[in-house]
Amino acid sequence: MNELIDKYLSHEATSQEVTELLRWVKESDANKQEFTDACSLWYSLHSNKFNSDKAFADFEKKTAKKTISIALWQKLSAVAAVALIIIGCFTVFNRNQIENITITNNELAISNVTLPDGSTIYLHQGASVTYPSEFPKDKRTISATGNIFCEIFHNETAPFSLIDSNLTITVLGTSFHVNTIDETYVVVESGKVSVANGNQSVILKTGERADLQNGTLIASANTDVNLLSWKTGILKFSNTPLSQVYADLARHYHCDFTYATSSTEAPQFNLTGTYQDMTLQETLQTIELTIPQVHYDYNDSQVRVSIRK
Amino acid sequence: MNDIRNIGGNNVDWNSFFQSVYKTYYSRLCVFACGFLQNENDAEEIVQNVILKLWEQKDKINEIENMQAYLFRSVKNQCLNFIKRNKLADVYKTEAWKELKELEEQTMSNTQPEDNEQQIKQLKEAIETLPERCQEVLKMSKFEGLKNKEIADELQISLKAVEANISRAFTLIRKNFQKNKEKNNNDIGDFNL
Repeated sequence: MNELIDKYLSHEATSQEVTELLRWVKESDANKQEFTDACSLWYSLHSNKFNSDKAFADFEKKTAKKTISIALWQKLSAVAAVALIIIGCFTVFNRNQIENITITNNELAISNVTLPDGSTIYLHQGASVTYPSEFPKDKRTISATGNIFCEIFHNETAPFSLIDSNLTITVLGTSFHVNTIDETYVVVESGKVSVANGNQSVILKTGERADLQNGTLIASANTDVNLLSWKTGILKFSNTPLSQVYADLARHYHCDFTYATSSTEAPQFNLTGTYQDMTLQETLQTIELTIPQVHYDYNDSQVRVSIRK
Repeated sequence: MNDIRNIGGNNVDWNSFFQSVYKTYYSRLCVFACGFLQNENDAEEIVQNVILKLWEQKDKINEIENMQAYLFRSVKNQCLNFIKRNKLADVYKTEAWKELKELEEQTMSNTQPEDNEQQIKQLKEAIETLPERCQEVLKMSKFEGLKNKEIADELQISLKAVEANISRAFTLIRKNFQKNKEKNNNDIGDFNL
């Protein structure tokens, strides 16, 4: 019978022999015990053939790869939760297919996006940018909405174009600022930029701006020193009326200013000072130290202005 | 070994957990899979995949009541799928064979890892006491994985002689085990191999 067990365990038993073996095993508990003992012995005898250390090393290699891709994904989704909503598909893993990537910044903090050509787009709160996962050789075209600042990598053979609902901005390599919220304007920090709206177009140089007013593009020198404060983190005031200060703060911090019922408009004071990398609350406290006649109550992006009597 | 049967908490060291899974079960699971597939490479691949799947679902690992039984059952199911896909020999279709495999699975699922180690140690000792030719043939067959025909050629003996030597080796080892078992039973009463 032992021979039959060996045959069964080593795959040599015929259907008939297997049936015979089963009948024998079922005959008595002693037979069953003999069968299980034989199995157990067989396992001990044959487990030598298999190298569990090598198998574990293979396992470690395979799981290490999986851990990396999972960790990467978790990191990406963490970033998405904190600062960005990523719509569309990343095609990092499939370079043959070009897809559009849209990134929207829903946080107060600025987020920046590096384009496939190395250019950087800074997004203010609410801004969004859409770009292809890979640019064609001869042109670089992206679309964007909201308040953004672009540092464009210089490349004469592939002009850079930014298209939004109204404007087409074309550059070779420069830095400029576009806003399409409430008022639409483009400001050039360095280089030369062409701005087009329908049939009309203007060329802007460093320090110049173009505003779209009632469907017309108007170019002028930029005098608004705080236009880029959201990107630089610096707010500068030089004998500036408080009404203008509030407008700049509102744009910078995305907040609203309201006045207490006793005074229906901004108090007539001028402010001079530079504020760098401060929160709205810190800035208001500092302003209140400079002009103690005016008091600010701050609550959830609403600032209430009142005059001390 | 407790870490395999009871794992909990958030700070599980998965690397050492799976290392002990390999150390404790891998070889036996391969032997078990070999009983279905004959081919050692296929057997190892199936066992690897079963453990990888366990790793992927490690968050739910606490739901597994008996790790050893889970592993043997998973390997069996994978092997049966493999046989179905590849249309292997007819003997696997017989109910008798399936029933024997079932019994084998139960036996192996219930063997304590400590007993396995004990048994391997005992086996090595038993093999050393075998007659020389017996020992030689058994080692070539089971440790070096040579086919009976290859052993016959190498030792220049007949195929029948090889089979007889293996068979004799088994019988002697079984007797040796039986003797040890009785001795142990007398010593500690309820010791069960």
